[in-house]
Amino acid sequence: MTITYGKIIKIFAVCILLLFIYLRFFYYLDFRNDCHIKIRMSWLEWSNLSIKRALITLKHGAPDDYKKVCEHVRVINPDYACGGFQGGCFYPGADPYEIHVSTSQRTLAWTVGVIVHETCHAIQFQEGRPMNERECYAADDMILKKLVEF
Amino acid sequence: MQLVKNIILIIAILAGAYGLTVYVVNIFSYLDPPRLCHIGITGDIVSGNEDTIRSALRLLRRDDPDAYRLTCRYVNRINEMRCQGADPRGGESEDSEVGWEKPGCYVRGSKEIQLKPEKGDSEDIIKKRAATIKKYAEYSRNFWEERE
Repeated sequence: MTITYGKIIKIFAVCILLLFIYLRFFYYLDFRNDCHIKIRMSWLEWSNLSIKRALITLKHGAPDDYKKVCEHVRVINPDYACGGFQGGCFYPGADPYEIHVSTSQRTLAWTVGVIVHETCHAIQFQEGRPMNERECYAADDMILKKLVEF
Repeated sequence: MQLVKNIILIIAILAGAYGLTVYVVNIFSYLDPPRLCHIGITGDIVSGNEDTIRSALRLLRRDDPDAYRLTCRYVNRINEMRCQGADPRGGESEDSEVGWEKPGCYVRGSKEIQLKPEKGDSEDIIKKRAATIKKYAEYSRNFWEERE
């Protein structure tokens, strides 16, 4: 079998396309803030771009909370989980750097709130503290008040 | 003569393609090519009416060009959904502070605004929506200018 230049170009083009799709839909990259978050695929919600929009909003609107997310979260799973639709989840027994964020309603501010809430649980677990819902509800309440202007 | 016919044909095809593109894009969002304005729209098909968002934008274009320019620059998406500006489970917020009944809101850090869903298509609703869009476009401008 001979490999022609045409084949090499085709393989290269397919690799570039796959890389583009991966970076566009399944990875959040922010070199300046050293933020790299993998976003898993969701067969139910198809909402990875909503999660990216929420991360970008957090970056500009609440940089301190954004830094916490970048530091304590490496994977976001957008599939429906224990928090229900438009809710979130953190499973202490699984990957401590993975959070579940459902964006079924596509509500930007609420999605930011869910990310902050689940990051709060990830921080509690990583610091060896017990899961405290009150602290994390207060965190998402605060971020909503900070970001939403009437 | 044949050359003139071909040129006319090409112009007609290009004009048709342009018109069709604008028409199709305007089904899902708002596009105004001469003013380089594109705003994504997410409507609420159950309790809202996204056509009145487009009408409100056209009203701004006609009656308040400065506000329209501001909107095109600082708003890239309008979502027809109720605002939630607090989480009452956090302990400190009262239900009345959540903002569920507000006509709209702006999310700081983004160029997105939300409008409370409204079913009707009266002039009054369109005017009210235009005023709401203008108000939150100004909020967005203020946020992004503060950062510069």
